[in-house]
Amino acid sequence: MPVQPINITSQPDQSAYKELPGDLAIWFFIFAELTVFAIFFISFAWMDSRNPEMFDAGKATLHPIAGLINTLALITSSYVLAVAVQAAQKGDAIACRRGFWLSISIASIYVVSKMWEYDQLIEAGYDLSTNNFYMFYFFTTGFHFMHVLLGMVILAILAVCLNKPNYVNSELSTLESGASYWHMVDLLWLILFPLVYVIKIF
Amino acid sequence: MSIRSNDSTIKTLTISWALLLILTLTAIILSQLNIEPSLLVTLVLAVTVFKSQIVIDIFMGLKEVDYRWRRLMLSYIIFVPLILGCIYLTA
Repeated sequence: MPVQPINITSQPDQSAYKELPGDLAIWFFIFAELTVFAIFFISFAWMDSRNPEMFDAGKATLHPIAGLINTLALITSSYVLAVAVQAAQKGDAIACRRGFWLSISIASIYVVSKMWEYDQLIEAGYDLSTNNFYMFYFFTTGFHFMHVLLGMVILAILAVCLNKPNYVNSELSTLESGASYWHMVDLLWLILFPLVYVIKIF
Repeated sequence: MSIRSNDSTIKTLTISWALLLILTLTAIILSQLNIEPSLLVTLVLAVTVFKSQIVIDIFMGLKEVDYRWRRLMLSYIIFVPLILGCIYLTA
């Protein structure tokens, strides 16, 4: 009776996997960014847990509806961009370009909402120097806000580049890199949102 | 150039988007329910992990990619909320 070879490795077959979307460099950049934000998140939670009265009082001055609008805007923008990348993979440059611009338009809702929120807080007399909560709030959300703006600029550049003939086919990896960065921005907000708006421990 | 095949359909993306919206609203509703803080922290962070996994697997498209990259991303969205949970629950 012939002996059947036994597969002793538990690792899946590598050939069954797709390639990583985008350039490898963007993933190193994404992991570096995630690490920096992880330090902010942990610092925020640590200060929150040590100063629950101060942080809960600070959170009570925020606008949860604005936080909700920001979250829905980023999730929807990310979704539209994922659909646009699908179009790019099919070689449909027009649908891809429309998706990129629509994603930027939806992201601008986040920008307007966040700026309105900052304006309301500053008008009420709160700023970075008010106390530790506002220092962490403005610094962490402000740093994320800058990433949103950078992401929108990247998406806009790619959307303009999509006017070039055959760009969607020749630079698919670049489009995927831009989209991966944008999804990272969305991912970071998904962790930041409950920390700032939802969790109240006092 | 990397060419990723087209497995994540529009339907999957749309269902994932709807799920993310529902989970976001769930987190908001949980915060309004006056439940015990430690339970609130646990539930909200669990919802966050679930939402993050959807973004990584479906929107980023890592579900079909080399398992090591996916594991790296998933370890982030599990360990960071786990550390946050430990900080809040042991305070």
